[in-house]
Amino acid sequence: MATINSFLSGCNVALSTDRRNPLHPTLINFKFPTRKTAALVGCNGTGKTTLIRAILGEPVLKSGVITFFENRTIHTLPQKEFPELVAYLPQEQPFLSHIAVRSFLELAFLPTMSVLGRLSSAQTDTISYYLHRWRLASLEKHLMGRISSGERQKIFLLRAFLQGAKCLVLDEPTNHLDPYGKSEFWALIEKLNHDDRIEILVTSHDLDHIQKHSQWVLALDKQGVAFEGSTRDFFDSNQSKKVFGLL
Amino acid sequence: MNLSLKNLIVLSIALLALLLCPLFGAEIIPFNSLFSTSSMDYRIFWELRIPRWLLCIGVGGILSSLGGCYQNILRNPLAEPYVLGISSAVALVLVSLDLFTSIPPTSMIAVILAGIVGTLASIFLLAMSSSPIGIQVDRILLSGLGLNFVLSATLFLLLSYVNQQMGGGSLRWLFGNIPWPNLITSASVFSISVLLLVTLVLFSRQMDALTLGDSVARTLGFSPNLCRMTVLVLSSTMLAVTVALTGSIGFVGLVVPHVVRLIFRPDSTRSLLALSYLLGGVFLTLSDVLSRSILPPFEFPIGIITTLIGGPIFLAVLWRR
Repeated sequence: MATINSFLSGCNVALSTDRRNPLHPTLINFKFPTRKTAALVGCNGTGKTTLIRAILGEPVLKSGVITFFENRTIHTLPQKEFPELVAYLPQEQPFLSHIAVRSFLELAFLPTMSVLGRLSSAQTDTISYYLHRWRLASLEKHLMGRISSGERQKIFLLRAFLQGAKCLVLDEPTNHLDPYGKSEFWALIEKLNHDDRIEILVTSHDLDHIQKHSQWVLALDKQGVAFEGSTRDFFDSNQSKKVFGLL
Repeated sequence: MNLSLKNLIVLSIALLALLLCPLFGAEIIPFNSLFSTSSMDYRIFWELRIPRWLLCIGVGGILSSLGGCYQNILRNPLAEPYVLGISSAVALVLVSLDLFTSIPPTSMIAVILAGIVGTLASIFLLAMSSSPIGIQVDRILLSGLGLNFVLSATLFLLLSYVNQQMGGGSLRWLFGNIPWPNLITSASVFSISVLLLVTLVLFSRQMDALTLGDSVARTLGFSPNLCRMTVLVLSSTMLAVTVALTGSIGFVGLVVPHVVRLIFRPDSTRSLLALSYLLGGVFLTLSDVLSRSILPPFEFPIGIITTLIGGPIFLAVLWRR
C-alpha cells in the first residue's frame, strides 16, 4: 500500500472572487506534508482567506485542483463527506450567545444526529471527557455570551475538534487573544497535531509562535507563492522578513 | 432545553389558558351547558367558537414558528414573516380580484391563487438574491423590503379607492381579521400548520448548522443555499394562504420567538420552533378572545390587539432580563 505523503496539495490553482479575474498573476502550487503543522502566512490582502475558502470547497477556484490526502478532490466531493475530512474555525465565528457551552459543543455532532437531535451516550461522554482534558469543565453550563473571548476561542477549537475530521483548518485563530492566550492556544494546536494526530493548517501573523509550533510554511504575496518549505528554512533564510516587507 | 420547574409552570399556564379560551367571548359560556345539545350555548361553542379557536392556533403557530425560522435563515433578529413582502403581494392580488371580478378573498379560488402568488414571490426574491457564488442572504432581506414598499404603496392606493367605493372592509389588510370559519376550513388550516411545523422541525438541524455561519455549516455537510431556498418557498406558500384568510396580523411573528428565547432559552432551533408555535397559538387565541370581549358585539381588529397586548409584554420580559 502506497503511503500518503501529503495531507493537502494544490496544483496550478488560480483563485478568483468574481469568477473572472484571478487574484494572483501566477498559479499557486503547494504540497503540505503529513504530520507537520502547516502555517499559511502573508500580508493582509494576499489571498490567504480566499485560498482557505478554496480549500473548503467554496466556488472561488477559477482553475486548478485541490486535493486532500492525495486522492480526495474537494470540488468533486459530495457535501455529506465533508465532515469527516475537514473542520473549520473561521476568523469570525458566529455563535448564539444565549445557549450553554455544552449545547454549542453538541453542534459538532450535527452530521450524525438524528432528526430528533439526540446525541448518543458515547457522544455525550466524549464532550465531557474533552472538556475535562482541556481543562474547560468549569465552563460547561455557562452561556456562550458570558465567557471571555479567550475561553470562547478554545471552545470554538474544541467544537471543530469534536467534529472528528482528519484535518483542521484555522483562519487567524489568535487574532483577538492576549499574549498568554496566544501561547495557550498554540500549545493546544500542537497537542492536537502530536497527540490526537489531526492534520492542521493555520493562517496566522504570530511569527514567534509559527516559528515555535509549526513545521511547514506556505507564504503568499501579491504575485502568488513567495515561499514554501520547512519553517526552519523560512526563518533561517530571512524569507520571513522579506514576505512581511520588513527587509 | 431546560425542563426546569419554571419552564413547565409557564407552559402549563399557557396550555390551560388555551383550553379555556373557547368559553370566553361576547359572553362567558358556563361549563355545564357545553353538554346540553339543544342549548344556544352549545351551538355557539361547538359550531362558532371551536372552529375559530382552531384557526387561531394554526395561524398563530404558523406566524410564530415562521418568525423564528426567518430570524435564523435571514440572520436578522428583526426579521418576521411579512418582511419579505409576501403579504403585500397577496393582498394586492386579492384586493384587485375582489375589486375587478367580485371574487371574495376568502373563497377557495382566492386562497389557492394566494398560495401561487406566495410561491412566485418567493422565487422572485431568491432570483434577485442569487449570484454566481450562491444566495446572498442580505439581498433576500433587501429585495423583500423593496418589494414590500412597492406593493404596499400600490395596495394602499387601491384600498383608498375601495374604501371610498364600498365604505370600509379594507382594515383587514392592514390589521388582520379573524373570520368565523366553518369547521372544514379551520381544521384544514390547523392540520397544514402542524404539517408545516413538522417540516420546519425536519429542517431544524440544518438551521442549527446555519447559526455557526455558512462556511462551517458546509464543512458539517449541509447546504445553506438549499436549506434557505426550500424553507423560503415552502413558508411563503403557507404564509400566503393564511394572509388570504386572515389578512396581515402584525407583531406575532416578530415578537413571539424573542419572548420564547427570553423565557425558555431554547438550546436548539427545534425547541425554538415548537415553543414558538405553541406560544404563538396561545397568544393569537387569547388576543382574539379579547378582541371580542372588550366591547361586544364590536370586534377590534386583531392586529391592533396583538400589538397593544404584545408590546408591553415584550418590553416587560425584556426588562426583566
